[in-house]
Amino acid sequence: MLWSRLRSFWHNNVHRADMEREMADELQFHLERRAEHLAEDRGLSPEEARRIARIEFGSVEKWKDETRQSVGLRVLDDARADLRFAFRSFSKSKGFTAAAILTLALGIGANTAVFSVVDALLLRELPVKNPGELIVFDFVRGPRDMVAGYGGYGRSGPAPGYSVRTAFSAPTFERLRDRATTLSHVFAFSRAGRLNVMADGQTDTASALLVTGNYFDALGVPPLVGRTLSPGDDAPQARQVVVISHRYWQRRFAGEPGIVGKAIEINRIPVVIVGVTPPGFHGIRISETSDVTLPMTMAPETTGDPGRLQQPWMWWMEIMGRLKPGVTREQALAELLPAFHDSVRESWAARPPAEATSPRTGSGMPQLRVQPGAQGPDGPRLDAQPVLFAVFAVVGAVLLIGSVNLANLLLVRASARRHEVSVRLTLGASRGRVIRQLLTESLLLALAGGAMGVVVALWGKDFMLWLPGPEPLVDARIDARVLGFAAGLSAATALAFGIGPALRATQTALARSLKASAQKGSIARGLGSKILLTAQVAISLVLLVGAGLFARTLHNFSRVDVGFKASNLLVFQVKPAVQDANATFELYDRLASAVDAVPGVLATTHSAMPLIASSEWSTEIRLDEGAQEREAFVQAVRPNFLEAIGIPLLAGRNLSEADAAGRPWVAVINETMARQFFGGNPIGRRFQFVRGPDRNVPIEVVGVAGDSKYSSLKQRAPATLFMPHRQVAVRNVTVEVRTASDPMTLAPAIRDAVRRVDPHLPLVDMKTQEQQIALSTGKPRAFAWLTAAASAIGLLLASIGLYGIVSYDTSRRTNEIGIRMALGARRADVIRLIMTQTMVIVAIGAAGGCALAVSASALIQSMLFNVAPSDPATMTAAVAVLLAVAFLAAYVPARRAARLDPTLALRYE
Amino acid sequence: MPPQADLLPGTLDLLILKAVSLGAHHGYGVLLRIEQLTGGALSIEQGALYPALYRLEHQGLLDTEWGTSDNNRKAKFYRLTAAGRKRLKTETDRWKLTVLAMSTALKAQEV
Repeated sequence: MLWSRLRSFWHNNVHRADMEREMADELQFHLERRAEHLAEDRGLSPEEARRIARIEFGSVEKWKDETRQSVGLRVLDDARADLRFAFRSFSKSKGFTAAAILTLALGIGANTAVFSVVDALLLRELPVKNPGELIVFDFVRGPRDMVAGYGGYGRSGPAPGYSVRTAFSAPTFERLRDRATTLSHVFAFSRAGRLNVMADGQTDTASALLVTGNYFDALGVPPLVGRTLSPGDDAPQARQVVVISHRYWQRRFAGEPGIVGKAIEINRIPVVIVGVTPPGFHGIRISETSDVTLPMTMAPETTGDPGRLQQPWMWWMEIMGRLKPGVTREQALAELLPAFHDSVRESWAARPPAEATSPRTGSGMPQLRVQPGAQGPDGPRLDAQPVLFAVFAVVGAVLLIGSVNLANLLLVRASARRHEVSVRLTLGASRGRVIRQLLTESLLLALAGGAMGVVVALWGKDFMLWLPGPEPLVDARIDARVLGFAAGLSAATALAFGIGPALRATQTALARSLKASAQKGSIARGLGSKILLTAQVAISLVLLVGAGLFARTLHNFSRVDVGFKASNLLVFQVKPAVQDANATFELYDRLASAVDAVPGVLATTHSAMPLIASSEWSTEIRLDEGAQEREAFVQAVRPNFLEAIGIPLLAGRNLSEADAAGRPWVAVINETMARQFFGGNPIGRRFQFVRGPDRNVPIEVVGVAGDSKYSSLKQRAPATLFMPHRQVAVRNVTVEVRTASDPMTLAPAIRDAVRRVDPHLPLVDMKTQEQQIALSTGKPRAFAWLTAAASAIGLLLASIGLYGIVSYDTSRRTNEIGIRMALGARRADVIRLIMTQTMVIVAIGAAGGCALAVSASALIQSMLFNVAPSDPATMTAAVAVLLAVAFLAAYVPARRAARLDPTLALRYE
Repeated sequence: MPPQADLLPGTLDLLILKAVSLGAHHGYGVLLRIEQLTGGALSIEQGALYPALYRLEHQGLLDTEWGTSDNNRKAKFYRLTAAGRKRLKTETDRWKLTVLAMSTALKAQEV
């Protein structure tokens, strides 16, 4: 039945001409037969019979129309007519059309771009088998809970002092795996950072994930080529193997067909590539990609901690599982809670002596949770959430301003077309029919805007991806879902902002509108437009304030004194695969002398942590006198570090090459540490580390250096101690090269020098220190651009709207203005009249905007620097800019109105 | 001309189905057949026949075919489909039920 209707509908529409002809033939046949019949029955002449037949039948056209309607053709006919009419009326007002479409394209485009990122980041499920069955384990750790060594990810938790942790110990994993009957799989994984990969004689780094052998089985990810890992790879004596991602296969090996069985070295460990994963799968995290996936048995080598897989007290691996059909998360939790509690107690009992001396007494039991895992483990995505929310708010505001403009334009058009609409209503069109016609127009506009918006989104999404940080978070795609969002948004915009004007246009009492008297004003005239205008002004102001706050933040960043000479400094990281401390020192010595030999290099040094790169190393120390423990930041450096980097020495001596491993331990501390920890002269005073293998070794303060920024520009210089790298050993370092001129010009020569020292040594992330500092302010910088662009567009749209409304209003008041001028008003009076009325609206909008801005800017507080969210100077400046632009936008049409010839104006109708 | 009753809503479709069930007809033939079947007691607007015919065809109850009429002219013939036959039966049953109920109700004596 439905099928036959669809088929008939399709047939009638596609073969519309045939259908019309057949219908005409059929009715003609009817009339002829009737006439013959009549002629026969009543003995009429043929002409008379035909005449009577036609009279009996009634209007052929009317019946044809009813026939068309009966097979559902009318709806389409009407829509077609509406579209034709809409196109015609748009082509008559090209300016309006272009303005409306452009406005919408910007608004919808920006929103679509943001949606594509949000979709990829927050809404999409992992590309694995039945993601809905996956679960993630995590726990809430209280301030006194029994967790000894934690090497995983955490974020601040549900209450102060609490945090949510996602890592567990290896024995915990084994316990959960062995006891779970509610789960079909329990698997674990751990990020291994970027590891050195040597293949075909070339070394680079790849992001690595350590996984248990059942990882791919549990996820249901099949190999594209070769095999994936299997539980057999968990055996200690198993051959060391690796599975690589499709992306890495393409990028690093150019899709080489003989990839399976290829021998490579990862951190100098020989491994064999056994398979490649399918193209869509980049690993367990949506926001990160894993180039290489290694069996968990390689954890000791990649972490440099031989006891990793046995220690019960070190918590470092993340655990997920797959629910058996019909099992709930609550059931799984109830079943596994005792196993978790056993693990916690075991781990606390087994904590090493270094931890045992810690005053942090543990008594509480952390609270295990079983969370949905369809989107993988959640940490980084949650970090991105507030940022995306802020971006959505900003671009949403632009769309709102744009839509208000559209609504205003449509309202103005509606008023202008009131006469046309009245005529149509008088001629018998139903109100619903006219509203449908008007909505068709706004829908057409919105869809055109939406189509252009998708183009805007195509490049806009790359910008969005760059917003939260230097590395793209995810691959956001413009796919069917995103296109659906754009189409839905367009349609919603069209309806939401088109229905008001359409109702308004058709509301007119017929008789009144047809008389010209409708032109005479009433108080409520244009009230709708004025309210919309006020809203527009308010939102524009909010965006302006946002732009102002970010501009001030950037300015404040540029004025920060970092405490060292950041210009002409090239930095890069090296990650040697050697384990032995002496070999590392020797390597760094050779590296330094090789780089020093490059012409143009003034000095080469290195530090454990890069500067102003959100990396920090802090530890608790205890002064010789007093048992109080305090937190200090550590930098293990080459002895020439302070000098090379440009941190002044204020007292005592600098570190020297003589401060070697066997010699008494020494440190240079910064001013802040000297003041906070020692009060008086710190030279010669001693302290020691509270934790770690080197705890209790006395360390003597030999010098005091100036304060400098450590991990970020925002942070005040923390209490920092600089120690010689031969005493506090580190493996991976950041090399800093002081150059005589532009450091990037020396980059190739320095790269060559490093390669000559050790071809296996990958050199990561080479950039200038100034670029590094700019990166650290990437988020506010990106937001500054975003809000600046958004507020510029918003202001432009708002002033176009204002200009349009004032022009329209004055043209409608031509009569009134003429009378005023005839009665003696001067031009200036007329201008003042119009400007006062307009600026009152703007002022109301600005006041509302200020209130809105104060509450809205509190949301971005964390991204601001040295400026309060309700900074009065920024507010004032934003209001001033807004008023100036609004004044200009209103003044132009006001002056034109005042130029009227009174005699003409009086006659104007 | 005998006295005529107005067509009850919905009955035209049923009449058309009945008329066509007795053999394929062109539109005008359907009209004549209905007049014949009802003894001319029901007034049918001639034009109203076509929206109804098209609607029934649209619903898959009638099939159409162009053929030659008895005086050798091209005409569109309607015939009942299987679905149409089924519909005719259910509608007839329903109609009988309605008639029965109505006449019982109207025959009731005041007590």
